[in-house]
Amino acid sequence: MGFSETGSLGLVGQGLLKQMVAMGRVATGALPDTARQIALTRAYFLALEQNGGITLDLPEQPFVYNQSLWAASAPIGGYLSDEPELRISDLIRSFDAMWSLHKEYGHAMAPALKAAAWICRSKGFPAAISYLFDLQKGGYVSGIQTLMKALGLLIWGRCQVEKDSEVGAALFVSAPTAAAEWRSAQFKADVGQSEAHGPVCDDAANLILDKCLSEIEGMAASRTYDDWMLSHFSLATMLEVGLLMIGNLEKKPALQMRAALDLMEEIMADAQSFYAPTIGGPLLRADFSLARKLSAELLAKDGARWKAHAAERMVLPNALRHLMDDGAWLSEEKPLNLPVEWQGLSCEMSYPIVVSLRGRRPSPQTRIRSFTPEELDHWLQDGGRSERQDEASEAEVNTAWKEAKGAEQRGDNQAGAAILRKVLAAYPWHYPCRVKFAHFLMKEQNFESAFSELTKALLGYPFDRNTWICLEELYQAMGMGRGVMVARNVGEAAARLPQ
Amino acid sequence: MKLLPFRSVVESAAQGDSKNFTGTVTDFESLTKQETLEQLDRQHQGVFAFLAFHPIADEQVRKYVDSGSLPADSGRKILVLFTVDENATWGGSTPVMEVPGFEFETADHPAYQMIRDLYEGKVPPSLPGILIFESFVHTTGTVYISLEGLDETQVRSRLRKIFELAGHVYDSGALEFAGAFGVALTQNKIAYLRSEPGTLSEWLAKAWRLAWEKKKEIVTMVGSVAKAVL
Repeated sequence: MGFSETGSLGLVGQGLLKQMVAMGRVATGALPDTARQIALTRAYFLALEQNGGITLDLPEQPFVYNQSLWAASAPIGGYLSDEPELRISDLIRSFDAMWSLHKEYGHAMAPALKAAAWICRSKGFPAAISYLFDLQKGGYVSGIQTLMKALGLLIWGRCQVEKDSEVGAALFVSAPTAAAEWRSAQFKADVGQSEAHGPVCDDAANLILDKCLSEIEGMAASRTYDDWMLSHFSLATMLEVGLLMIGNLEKKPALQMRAALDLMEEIMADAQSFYAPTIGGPLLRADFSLARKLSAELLAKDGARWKAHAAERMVLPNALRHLMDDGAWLSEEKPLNLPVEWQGLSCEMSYPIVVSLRGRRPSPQTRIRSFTPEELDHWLQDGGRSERQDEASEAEVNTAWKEAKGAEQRGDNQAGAAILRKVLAAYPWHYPCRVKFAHFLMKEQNFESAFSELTKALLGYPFDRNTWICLEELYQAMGMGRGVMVARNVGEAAARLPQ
Repeated sequence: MKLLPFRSVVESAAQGDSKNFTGTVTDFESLTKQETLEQLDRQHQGVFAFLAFHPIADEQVRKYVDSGSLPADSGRKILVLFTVDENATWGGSTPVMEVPGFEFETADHPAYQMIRDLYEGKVPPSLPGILIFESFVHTTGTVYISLEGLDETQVRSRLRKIFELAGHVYDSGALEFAGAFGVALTQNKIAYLRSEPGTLSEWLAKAWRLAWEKKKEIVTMVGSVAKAVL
């Protein structure tokens, strides 16, 4: 597998877009100031689009229209895979539009409902229900208000008509047909004013139940700690919405549905407990202490059958179920032998999760803007509060940094790379060290590895122009003109952003 | 559609409004106690069914179950149970497919054994099939209908008919469900086998033990809508 210009540019783009999604998923209310993230990500995709375009492989990512930029004929809601012509730079504006509505009104019901109604008309009611939940997973809506309101009105609208395709007539003043009309359609004044009832409500309850259970399955299939943590954030919201909605729709649920709701409630509580301690405590490194505590409780209750019960409760993802067979799992103090992708958050996810979870943009006072070894403690503190931020660790990285600089001056790239490789194993989120490490690899003509390290640094902190310059140099060295232009444009955009 | 362990259903029936960290039923054996099963009977307003099939030998039944329309077909009044590999709970698109390498001896499958246990000392009923009964605690007769020799489409239509009739008989408030259901089946030319009246709590305890010994789980299916039926 060789290094490709298009492939590498796509990887960075995909990473930046995933960061947007993660920020939306993690936020529980109004998002922190995301202007910089939006500006930089949009600059990246504009640069790509001006230099040949790109196709991203994110089939499950939904989109929702934003009024200012959408082409008149474009559908107002759907999935990226359905609309290959959709420009990602425009999609980024949708995040901006939806997040701004949350900030101003506490929800973004209107565009979410319009898009879902559009999907109900074209793909049917089950697809529309699923789409609304996918908007949450796709990072556009935070908290429960948007979903609750949009689901409630979609179901109400569907109850008023005979067919899925007629839902527009129930919701809008004049039933629109074309996408452009749909966008400007006015909601009827009495929308949602009467009670929804009938078989559509039963269907809706089952569809919501099915969607929630599918998401639980999806969480079980997580392949990395990133996925696992992000699933917890999404599930906590989706299950809360699901339980409330089903409660409204089914006043007397059948016993089997009630059992499913009970399990959902337990998993929702577990999901909330999973990330609650991280707000003030360890974050970047994997934390399975609650899962271990719950396992011990289940063992005490169920005896030999505890693992089956633990599996239902999603104590562990499928990929780590084998840990339950290890005696160390139930002795809370013993270290776990975790695969590398389960040891903590990746560089790519550390930044958006920290920003969203702490509910604010990192500022110099909160110390994530730390580019020099002297400011190392800043990075350690905000990149991983209480994650080995003692004086010894600071000294360890400072010493390594000085030794690496010495190696650089001597022209000993291999020695410099070895020093930084070691320090990065202990402090993987320290992006200045990673950029320096990439420099050494570039000098050794190891471009593929250099790109891999640079990507981690870029996504770990995308606002440092120097990192983009380093990427530009890498593309230059490989004779890849398009990459040079993109990296240069984004670097210039980064320099214009408030740091 | 998704699989839900029957144990969770029983727990939900047993617990009132109070909840704790790991559920209300504090020990596993208490799931089959009389008072727990009385709660189950009371809270499930309908009848129970056990669909006995081997996931490989009875492929036509497995395919029907995998299609996911079972909860919509059976409706809220008929709680349908069946066995799956214990790792298949919350499983993916083929929930009842078993791990390859196991299950060569169809005669040993716990689902088959559970039905044979019920008809011990009599001519064993032909499998696959479905057992329908009204209660786990009260003295009740069971009705068994074989699905032997049917293809997937026939399995689907036969089961839908059975569920429809069972629902009607339950709604009619017949004093003795099994008898009235038998009459309804006869009127529809569906052959069945009755068991002697008895209680099913011991049978359930034995069935659960048997399932776990063979690394199976007794489950029900939830979350499908009638419109989605294939």
